[in-house]
Amino acid sequence: MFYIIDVKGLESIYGSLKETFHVISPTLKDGILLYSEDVDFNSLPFGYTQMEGPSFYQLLQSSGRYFTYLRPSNTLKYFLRSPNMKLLTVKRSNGELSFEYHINHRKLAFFDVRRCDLKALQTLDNVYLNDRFPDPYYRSLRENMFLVGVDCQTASDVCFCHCMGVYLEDSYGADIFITELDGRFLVTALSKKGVELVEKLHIKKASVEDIQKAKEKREGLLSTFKKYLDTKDLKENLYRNIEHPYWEEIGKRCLSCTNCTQVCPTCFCFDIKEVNSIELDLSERVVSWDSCFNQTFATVHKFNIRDTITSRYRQWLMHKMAYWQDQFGEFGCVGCGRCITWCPAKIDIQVETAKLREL
Amino acid sequence: MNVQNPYSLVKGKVVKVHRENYNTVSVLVESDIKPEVGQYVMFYTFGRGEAPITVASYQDGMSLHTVRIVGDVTGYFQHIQEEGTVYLRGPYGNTWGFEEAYGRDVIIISGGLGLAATRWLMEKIIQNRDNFKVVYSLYGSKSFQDLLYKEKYNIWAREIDFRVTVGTPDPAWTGRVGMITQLLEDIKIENPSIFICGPDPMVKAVVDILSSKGVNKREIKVSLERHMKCSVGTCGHCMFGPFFVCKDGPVFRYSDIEYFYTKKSV
Ligand SMILES: Cc1cc2nc3c(=O)[nH]c(=O)nc-3n(C[C@H](O)[C@H](O)[C@H](O)COP(=O)(O)OP(=O)(O)OC[C@H]3O[C@@H](n4cnc5c(N)ncnc54)[C@H](O)[C@@H]3O)c2cc1C
Ligand code: SF4
Ligand code: SF4
Ligand code: FES
Repeated sequence: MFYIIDVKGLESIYGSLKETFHVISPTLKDGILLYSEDVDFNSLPFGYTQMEGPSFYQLLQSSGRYFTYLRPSNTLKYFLRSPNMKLLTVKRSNGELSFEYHINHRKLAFFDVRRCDLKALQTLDNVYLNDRFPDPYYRSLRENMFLVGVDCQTASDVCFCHCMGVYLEDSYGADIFITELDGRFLVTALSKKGVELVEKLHIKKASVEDIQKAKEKREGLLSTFKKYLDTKDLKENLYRNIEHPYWEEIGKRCLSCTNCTQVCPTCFCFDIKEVNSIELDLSERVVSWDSCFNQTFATVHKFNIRDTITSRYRQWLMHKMAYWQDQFGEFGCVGCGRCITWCPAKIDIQVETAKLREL
Repeated sequence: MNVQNPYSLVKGKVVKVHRENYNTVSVLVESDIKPEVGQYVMFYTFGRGEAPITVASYQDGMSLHTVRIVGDVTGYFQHIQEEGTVYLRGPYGNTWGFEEAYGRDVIIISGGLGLAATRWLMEKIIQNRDNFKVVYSLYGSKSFQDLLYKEKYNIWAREIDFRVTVGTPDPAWTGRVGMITQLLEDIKIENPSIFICGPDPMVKAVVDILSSKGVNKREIKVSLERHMKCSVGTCGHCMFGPFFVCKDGPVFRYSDIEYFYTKKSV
C-alpha cells in the first residue's frame, strides 16, 4: 500500500509510534549521528549530510531536504543486546540458589533504519533465532519491534552495501518504508502492523506517478557508490589465501582496539561476566560485548589459540567475508562502512578483502 | 523451569564423589538432564561462572563428570561434598555417532583428560559388543599420577583391547611407558572406525600416523576443546574456522575440519 505525505504527515507517524513504542531514532550527539531513545521530532537530524572516509567523519548542513544523512554510527544491536545486559540474577540463601531471568519485553520502534541495517538485523536474527537454541532475550525484543525503513539518497565514500547482498528491491522486514520525493514522502506500508499504523492517520494514497518517481529516486542511489567489492567466489579465494603472508602486513597496522567489532551491526560476540555483591548472597550474570580482537578471546587453559594480532584480524575478516557463508549462507558484512570510518589505523575492510581475494 | 531459556540452570544432586588423582575428581550427579554419548553440560558455580564439562558416563538419570581442577569454576569441585547440590544446564553438542562403526573394527584413542570424553563411548561399545569386530582403546597419560579410572581397566579389558601407556617411568607402574603414538604401532589397522579425544598436538600426531597407514580421514572422528561461554552458538568464543565447536561439535569428522585444523592460529 502506498501513501503520500508531507513533513506534517511524517510528524504524525512519529507521534503515533511514540504512543505505543519506545522510539529510537538518529540524532546529533557528541558531534556525530547516533541512535538514541526518546528523540524529539524536531531533533531528528533532517538536512544533515555525513562525509565519511577511513578514520574520517564530518557532518555538514545540507540543502532543504530531509533524509540526506546516512546510517548513524551506532547500530540496532546496541538496543537489542546492550553492551551490558543482565541475563539472570542468582540469589544464595542457606546454600541453595534461586534464579531470576531478565527477559525484556519492551516494545521498541526504530524510526529511520537504512537498508544495510535492516539487512544486518536479519543477519543477527539468523544467529540468535534460527537455531536449536533460539535466544529468548533477543526474541522477545525482536517480536515486539516496529521498523521504519528509509531510503538513502547518496552513498558515502565508505558504503558498499550494494555489493554485500543489500538490494533496493528488498525491504528486509521493515513495517513501513519511506522514500523522500521533493518535499513530500512516499510511504510504503509493508506489514499488517505497518498498514494499521498508517491507516489510522487517514493519509492520502499515492498516485502511480509518485510511486514511479520514488522508484527512480531509489535507483538513483546506485550511481553514487564509490566502492566496489567483487564477491563472486570470495569465500573460496579467501580460504585459498588463509596462510598468505599479506595477513602479517595488515596485522602490523591493526591495533587490536576492537573499534570495528563494536560499530559493526552484525558482530555479535559476547562474554558472560559474574557481578557479585559484597555479601556474596547475590550474583548477576551479565552478557557483555566481547570481541575476537581481545587477547584472551580464544584462550584454552592458558594456551592462546589466536595469540597474534595478525591471527585475530584474520579471524575477523574471514568470519565476515567467508566463514559466515558456511555458517549462515550469507555474508557477515552488509557493507555499511562503519568499521572503515572508525578504524584509527585506517584499515579498510573492502580494500583489504579485495586485495586478499586476488593474491 | 523455563525450558525455552537456554541459560536456565537445573539443580543436580551430588550422589557420589570419587577422587581420581591429585587434581581430578569424578562426581556422579542426579538431575533432569538427558545427555547422549559425546555431549557435555555447563556447570555453574555461584559467583564464579560456568565451565563446559563432558558427560563421562550416564545411566538412569545419573551422569558422571570428571573434573580437573584448574581454575575458578573447576576449583569449586575441590571441596565438593556428597549429598551437595550443583547447578547445570544442557546437554549440548553433538554425539559420537558410534553406530556408523557397526560391523567394523574400532580404535578409540584418548589422551589425558580426553578419556572422560571417550569413557561413555567405550561403555556403549561394550554394551553392544557383538555389533563391532576388533575394538582397541588406547589411552596415553602424562604420568602414573595422572591416570584416570584405574579401577576400570581390568573390567574394560575383558571386552575390548584396552591399552595404557604413561609418559614417564614410575616405580608404581608396571605397564607400558612411552607416547600414545607408539601404542598405535603395535596394532592391526584394517579399515577401522576411529574416535579420538586429546590435546590438539596429540590429535595431529595420531592422525599423521593413521593416515600413513592408509586410514581414510573420513573414518576419523575427533572431539575438540575450545573456549566456551554460551554453548548455544551465539557468543562466538568457540569459533574455529567456519565451525562453532559448541553446536556443530564437539565431535567432528576429521576430513571436514582438516583444512582449518592444520593451519596455525585459526
Ligand atoms: C566441550 C568441552 C568439554 C570439556 N570437558 C571437560 C571435562 O570433562 N573435564 C574437565 O576437567 N574439563 C573439561 N573441559 C575443560 C573445562 O571446561 C575447563 O577446564 C574449564 O572451563 C576451566 O574453567 P575454570 O573456571 O576452572 O578455569 P579458569 O582458568 O579460572 O577460567 C578460564 C576461563 O576460560 C573459560 N573457558 C571456557 N572454556 C574453556 C576451556 N575449554 N578451557 C579453558 N577455559 C575455558 C572459563 O569459563 C573461564 O572464563 C571441557 C571443555 C570443553 C570445551
Ligand atoms: S564489517 Fe564493517 S562494513 Fe561490514 S557490516 Fe561490519 S561495520 Fe559494516
Ligand atoms: S581493524 Fe582497525 S578498528 Fe579493527 S581492531 Fe584493528 S585497528 Fe581497531
Ligand atoms: S560457546 Fe558460544 S558460540 Fe560456541
